[in-house]
Amino acid sequence: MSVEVTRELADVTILDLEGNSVILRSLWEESDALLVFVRHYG
Amino acid sequence: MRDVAHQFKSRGVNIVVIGNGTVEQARAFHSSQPLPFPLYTDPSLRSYRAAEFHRGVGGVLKPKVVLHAMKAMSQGFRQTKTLGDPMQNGGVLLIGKGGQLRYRYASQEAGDHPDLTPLLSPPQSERSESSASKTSESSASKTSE
Repeated sequence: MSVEVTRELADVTILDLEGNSVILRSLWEESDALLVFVRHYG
Repeated sequence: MRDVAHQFKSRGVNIVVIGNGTVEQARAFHSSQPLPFPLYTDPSLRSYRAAEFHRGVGGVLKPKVVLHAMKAMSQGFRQTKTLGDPMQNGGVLLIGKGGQLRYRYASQEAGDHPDLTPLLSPPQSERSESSASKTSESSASKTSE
């Protein structure tokens, strides 16, 4: 599999534990990234 | 998954966990079960939709969910209060530096988690190259003898 991450995904903004916005693409700018999406907390 | 995740981390892979509750819920979860990785949250579920992860009752009302739950419980895991969207399934993305999608797994139901250990192996092309280089080295040594 060798496709680019969609812009739709790359442009999504998520929140850190302080409520600060983080754009998803920043997570793989400097290195490979393993993103684990959980169903829910708990 | 934590064991495998540490191996990724040792290889310089940035590991993050993304949930879908509120910031307060994420913070509470992190306090009760601290993770060795950054925890983020996406209450809007936009990232889940963009990654095309499944959402719906079907991800919860399947016989397999019971099996997954029993396996998890046998390993000591216990589900506490649901914080976030219980209908939203998760998944895993491995994204190369710069944005290349190298792996995508969309969970089919609650408790459906991928085995990530095969991702720790070098890609097939690298394995072939390393084998070739070993072959050429052995030939060279035989020639020099």
